[in-house]
Amino acid sequence: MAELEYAPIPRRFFHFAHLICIVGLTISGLYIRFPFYQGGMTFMKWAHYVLMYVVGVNLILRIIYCFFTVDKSAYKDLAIGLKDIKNTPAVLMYYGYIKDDYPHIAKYASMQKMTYDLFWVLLFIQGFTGFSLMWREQLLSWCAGPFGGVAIAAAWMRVFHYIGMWIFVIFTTIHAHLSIQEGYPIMKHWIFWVTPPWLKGEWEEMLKKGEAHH
Amino acid sequence: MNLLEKVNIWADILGFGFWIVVIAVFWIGDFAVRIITKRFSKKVLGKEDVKAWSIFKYKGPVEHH
Repeated sequence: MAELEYAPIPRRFFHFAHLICIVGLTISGLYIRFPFYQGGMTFMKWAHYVLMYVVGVNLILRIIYCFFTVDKSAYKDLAIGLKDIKNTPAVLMYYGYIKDDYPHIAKYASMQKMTYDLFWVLLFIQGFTGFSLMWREQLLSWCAGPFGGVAIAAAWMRVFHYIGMWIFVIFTTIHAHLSIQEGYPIMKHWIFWVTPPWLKGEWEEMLKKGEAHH
Repeated sequence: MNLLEKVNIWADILGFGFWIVVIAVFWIGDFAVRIITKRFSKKVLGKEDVKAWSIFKYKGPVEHH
């Protein structure tokens, strides 16, 4: 039988590793763009490279865990269906202070799903644009023509990487705020591994109703 | 200034701009609204939590004669 948990330990570990990497990558990335103190460039570039590999390995392991382990049905929690799209206006009204509640039809609200999906898609884009700065010839030769050469293509990739970083930072800022405001006990469960006593019952109820997968 | 430099500068402006707006709207504005509405809904309405629109529609206590 599959593990009966709201957020199994490996998932919490991947999330925590990802969180540390994103904070480190953002600080080091911003420093590379705007060196806000002197003499830190070598360290920041190294930190960016190391964390880049860690976040990449973390993503690959997370995907393996998602599709090939005991947790293999959980990816369905991120699938966006027609019922999610129909529910989005109600979710927007809730976050817009108009409605006191919205129909809970799945483990994650529709906009939550869209944000989480955006995160992993963006990670691949950031990976490609980031690696293409290191291995220009190997990764950009096939698409360098319209840009006017590999060097200019790499310069554009750097800008795309920078824009991607801002999208990540902005959505993570919202994610962090809502995780504290909307689901503080769940946030404590994810970050500090504190499990509220009611969580198991609620999780079982969700599974029974078919609102979540495990 | 070529297109690449323009996009770079606009990424700076919009990136920091949106980030500041998001921090102001969510971390400060939304947080403040939540505190106010939560206190109001608990003290006045006797409910756990309601949204600002429900409070806006509130006409005051019902008088019993």
